[in-house]
Amino acid sequence: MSEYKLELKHISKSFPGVKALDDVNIALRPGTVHAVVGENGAGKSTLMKIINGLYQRDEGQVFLDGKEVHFSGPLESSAAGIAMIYQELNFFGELSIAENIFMKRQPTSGGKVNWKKMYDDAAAILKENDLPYDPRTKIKELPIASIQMLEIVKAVAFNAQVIIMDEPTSSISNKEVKILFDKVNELRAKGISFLYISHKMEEIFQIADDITVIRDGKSIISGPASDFNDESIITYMVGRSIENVYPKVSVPIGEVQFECKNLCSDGMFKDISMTVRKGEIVGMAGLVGAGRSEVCRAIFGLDPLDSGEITLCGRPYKPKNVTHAIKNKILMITEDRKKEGIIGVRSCRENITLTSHHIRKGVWMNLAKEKKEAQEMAEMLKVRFAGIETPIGSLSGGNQQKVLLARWLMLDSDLLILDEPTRGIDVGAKLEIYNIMIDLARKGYAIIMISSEMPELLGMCDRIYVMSQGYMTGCLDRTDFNQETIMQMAIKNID
Amino acid sequence: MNNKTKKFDIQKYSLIIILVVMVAVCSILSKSFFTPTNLLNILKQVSVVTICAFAQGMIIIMGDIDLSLGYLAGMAGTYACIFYMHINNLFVAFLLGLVLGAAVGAINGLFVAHFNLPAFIVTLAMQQVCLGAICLYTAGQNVYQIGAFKGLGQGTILGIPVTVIFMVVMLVITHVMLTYTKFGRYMYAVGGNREAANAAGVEVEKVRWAAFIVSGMFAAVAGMVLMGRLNAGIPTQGQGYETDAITATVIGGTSFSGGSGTALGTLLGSIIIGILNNIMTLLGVDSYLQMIIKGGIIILAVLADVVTKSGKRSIKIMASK
Repeated sequence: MSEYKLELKHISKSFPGVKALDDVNIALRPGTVHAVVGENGAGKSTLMKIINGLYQRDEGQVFLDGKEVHFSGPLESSAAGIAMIYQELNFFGELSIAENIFMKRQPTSGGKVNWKKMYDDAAAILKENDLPYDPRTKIKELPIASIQMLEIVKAVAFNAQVIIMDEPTSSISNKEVKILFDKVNELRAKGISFLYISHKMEEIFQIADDITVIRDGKSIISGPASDFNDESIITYMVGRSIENVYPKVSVPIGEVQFECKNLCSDGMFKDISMTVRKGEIVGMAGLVGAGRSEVCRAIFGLDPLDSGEITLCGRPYKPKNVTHAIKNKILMITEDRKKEGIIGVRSCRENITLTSHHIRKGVWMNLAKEKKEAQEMAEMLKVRFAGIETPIGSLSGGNQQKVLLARWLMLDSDLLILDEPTRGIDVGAKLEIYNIMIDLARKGYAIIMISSEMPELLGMCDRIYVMSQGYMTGCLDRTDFNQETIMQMAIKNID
Repeated sequence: MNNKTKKFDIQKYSLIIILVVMVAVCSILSKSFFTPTNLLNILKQVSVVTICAFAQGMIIIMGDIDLSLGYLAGMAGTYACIFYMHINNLFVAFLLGLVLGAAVGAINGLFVAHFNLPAFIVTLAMQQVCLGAICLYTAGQNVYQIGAFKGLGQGTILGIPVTVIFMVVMLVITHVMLTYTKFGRYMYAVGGNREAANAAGVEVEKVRWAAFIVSGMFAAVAGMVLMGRLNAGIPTQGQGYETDAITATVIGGTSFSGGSGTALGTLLGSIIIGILNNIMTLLGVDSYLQMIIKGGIIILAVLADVVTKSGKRSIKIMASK
């Protein structure tokens, strides 16, 4: 028997324009829980997908029980005893528990599914694991925690030796976390090994035997959990040297342009208060799911807002819908460019002028004027395309983002919200977006920037609000910016 | 030597090329094809379906579908005949027909745009409602002796059939709406990416609702022209136009996934089918075989659309300077 159950050596993986993983090493001892910790976008998910074969590694080796393995997909890796439990659980809501457990391995007799055996076996598995359900229950009727438990049970029932869990506690209650951990402990005692991805410190120290910290696609340090504490992990997670690639220029900051007080939305965020001044770039930091986007979407009228007050340039403002927000000069570039930004099949011209037409009165469009305006705007933002009539869908991410910026720059703005403005954009285009932002701040725009890349926030913002679990956990001025402090605020547990 | 790559957008002109080739081939195949009477005949024959296709085209561009078009045409057309027989004023009867079409379109829009039900189901159900709503009044009978109403379908102005004039007028209306109005632009935006349109401030519900109302009015026009051509109010005669309209639209290059398509393309698509029907009849092709051929062509048209979209949008022609 080899020393390690699962060993990753020098794993590297590149995607166009970005090196997602760079020489990652992780060694999972048999019968232990190994936590993998890192910031948003550090490469944790990519790593997991490489282990189970969804992605193919560019370099490096994966050893299972000391033998090198190559998986072409999740089916092969699960056959080899590696089970993956995703953050977004995969299940067929309309099918029964039994059908979900036995998906792709239904017991058959003579080419037909042996339903009786399937239900009996499923009932046995459920009973063995103290899950009080009828195997005929539809999965969608179960609480999330039970479905998650079912995934683990299912993995074990089919002889999984390694279970990879991606942030398993992100959507379950504290009580359910305890049940989950009991199960993990029980299975660990039976010799099953876990790779446990999380960024919740207290959980990691409760459950993990070993810890590996990943930052910017590199494994920074590995060791027994007892060698670490909260502070040291945070230091490793963020301890990069910030190269000054940000063209930040301090511009005179004017009076308060936007102010919100005690914004609440049920189940999303609570008691959010912020101010943004003229010429100011205000950052919103936090982990994925902290509620930053939801706050901004509610201000923009895209998502519901239950209560709270908003003042815009001294006058009260109540979000109704997007058109209302735009007419009140609140503009927002949404996070998911493809889904809620571009209209891929239409030309850059039409994408640029879509909203400016909307704001103008009348029925008719002035096509000559439209073309001229769109052309000027695209030139100003240095959009690179074959021509203004090119479908926006064929442009690179950076150029698409510039076109979307152009759409909003056609209008007046009292508050410009940019949600992950540089996600999936190459370095050169990022710099151009930063320059545009600086330029806008200089013109007196009030800007909110949501970003999951902390260096970007530190580099570009005048002030940063930090959110955790739907609450505002802090606000820092530029002079007090500090990665460790922000990370501590971002992982702060609210209860 | 300086090689320059010129891009020739084959999709843009493919319909015209197909049309020209078809006309040339058909002229060779049959002597009676390329005659003024026959060509005008083709236009007359396609006029009603083309008007429906303009409506269907707009709805498909917007990412929905309207299956009620044909039945609505049957209902609105027949009711317009009845109105005319009562009030004896063609203009008012025509307007009432339009209002009826708009009303049914508004009901479609209410459920599709406001309550967010699938357009496919709502308009499918509306087929039955439309047929029932006219047959309830006529007791399932046809309406005859519609007098001057037949002028909407059989008349001519300066030698040009009124049906063709209607078709051209609707073409212009559709083209202007899609190209020069904000409403048209929103239809493309909503069809291209509904969520993005919403996030850009387009009032998606209003746009969809309005489009269904316009579609209903187009169906009413088609229905009135149809009844004029038939010289009777026959409710069931509208059936099938909704699907023929889809065929014309799709052959005309409108993407079924929404967001792209033109009025001119729809017209060409419709004429291509008209020519195909015409030549097959002239050549005495078995009518059942005709159906098979037409079905095959629709599938080929959609296949061509998908293939060109997956990257082969244009072919490159090397031109040296």
